Amino acid sequence: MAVRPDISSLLFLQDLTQFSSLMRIGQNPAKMRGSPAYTPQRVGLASLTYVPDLEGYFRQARDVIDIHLASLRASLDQECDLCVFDNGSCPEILNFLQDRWRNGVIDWLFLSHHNLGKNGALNWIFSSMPNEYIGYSDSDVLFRKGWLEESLRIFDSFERVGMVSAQPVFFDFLRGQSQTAQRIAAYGSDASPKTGLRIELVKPPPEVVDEYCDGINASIEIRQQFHQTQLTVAVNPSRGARAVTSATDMQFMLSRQVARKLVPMPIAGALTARDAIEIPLGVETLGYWILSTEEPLVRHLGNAILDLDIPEVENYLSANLQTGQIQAPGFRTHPGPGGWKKNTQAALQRLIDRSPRLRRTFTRVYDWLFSLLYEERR
Amino acid sequence: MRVGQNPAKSIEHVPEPARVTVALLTYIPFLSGYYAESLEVLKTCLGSLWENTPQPYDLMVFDNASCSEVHTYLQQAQEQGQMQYLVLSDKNIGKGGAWNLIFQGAPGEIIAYADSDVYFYSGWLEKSMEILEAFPHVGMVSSRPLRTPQVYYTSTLEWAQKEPEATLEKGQFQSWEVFKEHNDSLGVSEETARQWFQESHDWRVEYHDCTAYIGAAHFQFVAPKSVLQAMAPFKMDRPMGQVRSLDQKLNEAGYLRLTTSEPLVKHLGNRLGESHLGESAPSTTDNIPQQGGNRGAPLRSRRGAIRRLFNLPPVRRSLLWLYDQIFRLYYSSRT
Repeated sequence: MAVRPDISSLLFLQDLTQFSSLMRIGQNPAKMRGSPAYTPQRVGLASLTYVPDLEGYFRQARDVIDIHLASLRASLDQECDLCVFDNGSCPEILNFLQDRWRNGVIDWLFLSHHNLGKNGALNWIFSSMPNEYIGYSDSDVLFRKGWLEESLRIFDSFERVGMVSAQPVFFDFLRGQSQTAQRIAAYGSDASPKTGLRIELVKPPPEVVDEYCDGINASIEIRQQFHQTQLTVAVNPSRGARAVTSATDMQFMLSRQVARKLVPMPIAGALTARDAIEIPLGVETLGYWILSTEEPLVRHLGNAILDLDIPEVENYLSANLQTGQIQAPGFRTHPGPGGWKKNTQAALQRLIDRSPRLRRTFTRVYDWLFSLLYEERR
Repeated sequence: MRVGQNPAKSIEHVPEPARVTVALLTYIPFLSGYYAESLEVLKTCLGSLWENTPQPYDLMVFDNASCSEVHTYLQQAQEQGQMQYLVLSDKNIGKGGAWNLIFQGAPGEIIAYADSDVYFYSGWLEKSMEILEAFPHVGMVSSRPLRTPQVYYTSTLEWAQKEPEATLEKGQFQSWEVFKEHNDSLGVSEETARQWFQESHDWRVEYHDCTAYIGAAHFQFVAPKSVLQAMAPFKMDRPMGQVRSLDQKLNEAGYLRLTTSEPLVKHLGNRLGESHLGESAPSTTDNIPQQGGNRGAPLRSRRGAIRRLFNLPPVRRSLLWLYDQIFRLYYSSRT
């Protein structure tokens, strides 16, 4: 059988002069040879928002999300893809997110018309994000410099790590059933001559405990209990690395490989305790360890921040939010130094961006060329 | 700190996703030149989908860094509840990149994918699903007969030849009008299309009282999500032009690539054309701007010596280079 030639490859060579009522005129510029597309960054970060209104519990939600996003971007010393998944928020939040997306703070904005539940959103995030590492965070988390580097260091230092949170996790999400410490101890004794991997019990500094308790608005009883708690810390002396043997669904990182194995996760409701344990439980069931940093490199902000005595929040409120000017690593920037071609192109882009007149002129030239190249030939 | 309890914790039931996720990919960086009518095309595409898809489905639109006019339109559609999921990318991550996100993340068991320049006719989903469910090991079903390169459907042909319960026929089954319609949409001249029509043929296969043609196309298809997920990831280092890898992978994995025997979708291209001006769905008629002046009409008055000059290969190549440079300047700030 004769194989019909690939039409798209022939299209450009055709004599188009006889066309009378064709639906595709010209060649899609995106198909032109050499037009670059985007390559995903090594790390993709996803944040989940759900603010049905700006009343009551959610009264300060917009500010919380703003500080969350600003701190996240400011904390990054490397380019990362940032996805915000909105689970059906109110128009004010949608407008705000779209504004942040337009300003380049958010790379991918996923807008769901209805609430799919936290695990429903995570199913999409874990399935779709193309990056080697996927970081997740609730949208009420404050990020500090170094959280990403330290999390990645834990991934590099502990062979079977599957999930890493960037704050020491005091609360036992798996209600005494976590296997990580036990497995690390067993792994360490089996392989100790080589790795020296061991478990230590560590009493955390009181201020770290207080910060954690402030974040969850812990009762006096729970606060006292946590002050007595000793953290189980895994130590890998060969790498000089330490990590707490627990993690939280509030903020964590996974490798894409592990994330893909966790889906689809069951969805019991929009935000249930049952759903919350699916990730650490799933990671451990796959045979991986759940770990967190010893130092609090992220902090839960909660829903009430304006009265919080947190330097980072005060700084953001006074500087970034008032002026609306955010200058931080990780934000979209113009191309850096390059050859004369790159620099000329960047300069032209800036000129076009800034000058509506020039833009109009270019549009006219572009339209004229299009007409000349394609319309004339119809 | 956390004050009170998050009211979301009291939401016990979240909606189950529909079995079918209809996924559209949009990329309209600006509204001039090649893309001058693309927004109208998109509106027509969505209007026909809403009008002619009575089955339950969730609609996901992935926008690959379009211009603000397109975003505004898409956001309005979502606010009105006509679109369950809208994904906005601030960079063009390529068709392959978008496919990676759509195919991996779409919540439905079945994904009905289409480029944003497709017109849907009544029955498109129903007939495509019939084929998907009647034939075994189906990789993708396009909703109109198409003659595609055999290299991408050798597995389907082999299955049809070996399967005792399948009846395979070779011949000119689709009409010239149906063939021409699709080739028109691709910008192929009538003369060339006629030549292709005469030189090629269709493969028709009947299996368990269900008839399909062999061959499918990546601009529109219905497929099981599990199959598409197994084909991912797709290479994504160019915005377009690498989509054949899906056809190739499906064929190599032994999946059937089929089409409906009737034209139930139509590729619109980047211009609606006169025949489609009255074809836009009623629900979107109000939104579709009237065609302006002579846009889309042949500019016969300019023919002559100047045109011949511009058609000289070196001149044309230079003009194309300039055209491409302006496009890059426009859209590179979004990539």
